Amino acid sequence: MRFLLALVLVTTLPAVMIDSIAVSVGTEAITESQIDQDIRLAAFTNGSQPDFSIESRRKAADQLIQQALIRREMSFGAYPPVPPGEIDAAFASMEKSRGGDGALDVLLKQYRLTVKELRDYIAWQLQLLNFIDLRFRPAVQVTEEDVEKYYRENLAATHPGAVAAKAPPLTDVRDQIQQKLTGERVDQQLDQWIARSRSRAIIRYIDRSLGTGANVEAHLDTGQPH
Amino acid sequence: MDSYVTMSLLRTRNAPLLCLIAAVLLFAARPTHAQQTNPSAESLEGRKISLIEFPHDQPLDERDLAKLLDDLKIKKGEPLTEDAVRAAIEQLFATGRFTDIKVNGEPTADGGVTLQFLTKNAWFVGDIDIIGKTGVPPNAGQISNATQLDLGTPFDSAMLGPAEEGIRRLLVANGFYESTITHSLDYQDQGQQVNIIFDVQAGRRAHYVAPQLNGKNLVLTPERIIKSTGWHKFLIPGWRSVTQKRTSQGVRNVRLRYDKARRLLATVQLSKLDFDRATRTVRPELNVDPGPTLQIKTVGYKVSQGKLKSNVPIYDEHTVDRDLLQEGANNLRDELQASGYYDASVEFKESRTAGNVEEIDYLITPGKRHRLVALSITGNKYFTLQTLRERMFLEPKSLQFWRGRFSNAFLRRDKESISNLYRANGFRDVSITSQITDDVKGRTGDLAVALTIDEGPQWIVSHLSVKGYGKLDLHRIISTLNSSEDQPFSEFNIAADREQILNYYFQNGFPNATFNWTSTPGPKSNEVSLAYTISEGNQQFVRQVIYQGLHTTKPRLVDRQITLNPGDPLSPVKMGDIQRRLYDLGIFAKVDMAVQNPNGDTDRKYVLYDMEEASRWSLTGGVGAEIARIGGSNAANDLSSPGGATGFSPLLEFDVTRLNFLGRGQTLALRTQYSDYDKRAQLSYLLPRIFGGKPKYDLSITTLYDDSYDVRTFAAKRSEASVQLTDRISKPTTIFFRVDYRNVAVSNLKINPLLVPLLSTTTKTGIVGFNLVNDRRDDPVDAHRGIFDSIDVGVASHYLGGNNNFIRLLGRNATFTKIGQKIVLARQTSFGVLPTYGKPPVVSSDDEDPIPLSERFFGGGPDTLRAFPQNQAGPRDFETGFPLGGSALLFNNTELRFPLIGDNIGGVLFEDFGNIFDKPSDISFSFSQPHPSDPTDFNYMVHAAGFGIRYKTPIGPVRLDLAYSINPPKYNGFAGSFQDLVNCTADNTCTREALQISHFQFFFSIGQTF
Repeated sequence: MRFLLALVLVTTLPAVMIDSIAVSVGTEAITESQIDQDIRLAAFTNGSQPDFSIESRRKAADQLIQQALIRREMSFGAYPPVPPGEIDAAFASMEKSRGGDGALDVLLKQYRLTVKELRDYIAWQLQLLNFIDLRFRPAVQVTEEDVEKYYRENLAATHPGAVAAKAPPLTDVRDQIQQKLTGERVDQQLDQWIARSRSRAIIRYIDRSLGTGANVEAHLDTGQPH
Repeated sequence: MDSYVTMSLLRTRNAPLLCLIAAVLLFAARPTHAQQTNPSAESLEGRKISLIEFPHDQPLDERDLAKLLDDLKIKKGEPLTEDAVRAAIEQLFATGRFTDIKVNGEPTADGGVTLQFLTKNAWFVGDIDIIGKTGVPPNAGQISNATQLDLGTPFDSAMLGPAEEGIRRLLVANGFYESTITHSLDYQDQGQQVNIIFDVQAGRRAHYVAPQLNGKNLVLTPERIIKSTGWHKFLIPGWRSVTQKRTSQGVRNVRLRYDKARRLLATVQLSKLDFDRATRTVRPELNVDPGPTLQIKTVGYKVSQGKLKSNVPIYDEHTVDRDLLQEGANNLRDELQASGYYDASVEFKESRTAGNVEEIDYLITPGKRHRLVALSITGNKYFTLQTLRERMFLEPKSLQFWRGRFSNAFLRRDKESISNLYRANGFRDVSITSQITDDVKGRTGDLAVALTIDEGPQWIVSHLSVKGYGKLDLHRIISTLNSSEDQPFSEFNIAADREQILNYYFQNGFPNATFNWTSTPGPKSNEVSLAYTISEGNQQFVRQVIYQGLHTTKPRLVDRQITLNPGDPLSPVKMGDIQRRLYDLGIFAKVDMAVQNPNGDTDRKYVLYDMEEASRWSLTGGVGAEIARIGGSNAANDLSSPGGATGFSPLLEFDVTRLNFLGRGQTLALRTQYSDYDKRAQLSYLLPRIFGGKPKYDLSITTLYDDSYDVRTFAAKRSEASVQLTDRISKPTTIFFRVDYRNVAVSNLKINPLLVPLLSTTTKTGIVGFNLVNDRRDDPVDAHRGIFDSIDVGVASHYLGGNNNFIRLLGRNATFTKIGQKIVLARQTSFGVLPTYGKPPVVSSDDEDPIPLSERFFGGGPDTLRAFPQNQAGPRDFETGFPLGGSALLFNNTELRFPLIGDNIGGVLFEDFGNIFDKPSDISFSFSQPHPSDPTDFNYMVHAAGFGIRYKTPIGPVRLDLAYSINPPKYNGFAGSFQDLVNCTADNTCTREALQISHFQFFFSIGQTF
């Protein structure tokens, strides 16, 4: 009877979809499972519950498209890999923040993640920082006038009149202002570059729920049965 | 579907069991993207794979697919993992051959899982076919290019809109404003190709009307501007039809018109073309700004307008800025220095005067004029002086460069060239210094340049290691590398090695091979140990060669040219060879070549060829003229000018060619020529690449009708048929096997009337023979070095239907030797005999020379012996003085070819000797004509010397030769008509006129003498 039940169960179970392409960027495919995994990884690092809503999935797909564009750009240039020691250190820090070795394993299981996936995720984040630094930072220049202007408009102006005396002197905050302005300009450069790359790349949303408005491209309708 | 199954089952009687099943099914039917919460998919994780299915035809090569899945451990018996499935999807998609992939899993009874890959194939651009009524221009190729659809690239139906828009834009630019464009798609399963057929109905072409001119103060009158566009018909009323080229040319012409009015900064822009549908006309709108008048002149030294224009870039760029002005000054300075003003300085001054005039003055201080009288190089041990001089621009004074060639820029460049040469050979520390001495030996302006080379030590490669190869055997390549052990160490050599290695990989299907090198100090000083590291990457192979675009051509013809087979390495060199072979067939206007899906991550690629068949009919016509000593009366009765006279003859040519006859790549051609001296029609049929399609053998069948009067002695009507087999034995060696049959009727004989009955007999000649050619010249049009040999052997026999038996032997040997860098010594010897054998079946000639008149050797003229006018050498008729030809010939030409003015004009000093002789046994090297007082013997060597000028053109040098015949023959002519000659011969009262071939001859033609 048990065997019969098992047989019936098995023969009547429909085929389930294991995975499929959600978005393509050139010849690179982003699968549905990748999007799920990205959501779980982001949730894990943020310490929040995974959110598989359409909005969240769109955001994750968008992140993965950017990653694909960056990976392609990195393949054209000689960007040095992140030293393994640096990855180890970052992973150890993450492990520590999650309560150590055993606790991390338990937590990862809850998010359906493996140590390798987390480690790869950390490595990618470091590689990304490295790329941004090498690709965009050299082109960014912050002049003394920029620093002074920022100081005038953002620090001195917030302490008008008699209170102005309480604003920190420029010499004390010059480095911080310079760093802040540099960071902002690097971000601007990155955003512009991503926008340009996206406009040049052939991006297709095969899972149409992930695209928005004009971004959605239907499956190629070639008039052929397959 | 899932819901339907569930409901059906619930209607049965075994409710508890079915409820359980229903629960399982419902659970399995949850949305897939919530895989996190979809335990069905998760539950398949770890199950053993029982079966892998691709329900739809998958397009990958089975070997590629098997390898891809095996590498990911997606194979029967392996546990299923989500990561492996994802990686499989990614890698399958990266092949570029799919547009969508889904993977389903179905549990099996034995606890395994069946994997189903549901795929949707990609398509690629195939043949672009343009049909309909397009009008030319644009032609089909231009329309095809306007689609921006590239052969072999991924196809998306969304591309069709922009493609049609591109065609429409092109048509509009060419005046077709009312076109209709439709397309149809032809899907080919082979290679996943989509052939796209655009049906273009261009409609009628619009015409221009008078353009609207916008702008203040146009300077030129509107009539003048409109006329310069060329859009109005010349001399007759009406406007021309619109074409893209005509529109842009019109705008350019207006600007050139302003240039002529010294308005170099004028801007003329076509702002729009207004189409009027009712009248089908286009009104161009031109925005014109004449700008200021620009006056460019030189002060201090006179420079011609031509040189000013070629040196000052403002004339080309139509803008004025400091950079362009400075460039002009530099160019003028270099020009002056090259003319001997080595100390010249050039500055410029800009000023604007009243009346909107901008003046640019180049202030030139030429300084003293020099001559480079001496150039010395010392310190060179490794390289000979000649090796160094070959690379230098500096030239001491010579016949070619009267003042020598020197400028500071040339000196810098020469020092750099020499340094590079040394560095390329391991002399890393080489240094070159120069010293310039003026007023050498007290002569004002004479300059000497001394270069001193300090070579320094030569760096040597002590050891070379090459790592990283394995898929290709590099041993043969390694043994030929420039940087092998004990060879000079230089980055130049390493770059050459890199190119050699990567080319080898590239040719063998490794497009991603990379090369790196490192060096470390060797065991001794000035030694370097080199290490080459190669990263091979994946080897790519040919999956299949697919061609398309044939309409009338037989596929078998193309198949023969395809030398790449499935499984061969994907070699761009071989692909290019195939493309060249296809072009060489001469039947395709365009052969596009591409690797399909080049960015797809697969090792086996389709190679595509898309052909556009050329128009099969070709008509060409030409008009020309001959001017030479070819004159004299053609009338049979006129015996004047037996030695030729300066004459002029118009020449008409008309050819019709039918290419790709019967779709087999064969050519049928009719060539006709009409002039006073030659009326000719030739029909030929060429069968190229017979015997298996190799380019080794060609067969041609030719029929000819020729009515010629190029030998002044007689008119000949020749009917001829011939078959020729061409065998290209090797690159320099070709042999032509030939069978000819000809029937020649001669008339208008200007000879002793007693001989007329014998020599005017119609001759039939059947001849079989071969011509072996060995051509090792560097340039057949204008050779500088090499050898040319040919031997032509023919046997005429009555067995071949002729009425005479003779053997024809004609040999030619030419050599070309360089003397120094620019002088060529060229020589040529030609030798020919016509011995007879057996007894001729019909006596067709006189006893002295049994060879029929039309088969004899005739010679003399620009290509054989410049001591004579065309075909005037050799024996002559005793009574009339007209040439009779002979049975032996010997010509020798010697030429010294040298540059004369610049690179394009050259000079030639030549000496020719030789003659046509009655018989082989009559060949004589005697300098003097035997019995000059009774000139009936012409068997001696006639010499000529002279000077010629050659002007280089793309079709070969234009030639003018002036020859002085040193010992021209004397001969007897007859002052009177042929009837007078008949009369006086009958009563033996003929009076002979003593004549002589002129000492001076001139020739004007194209191509070197030999």
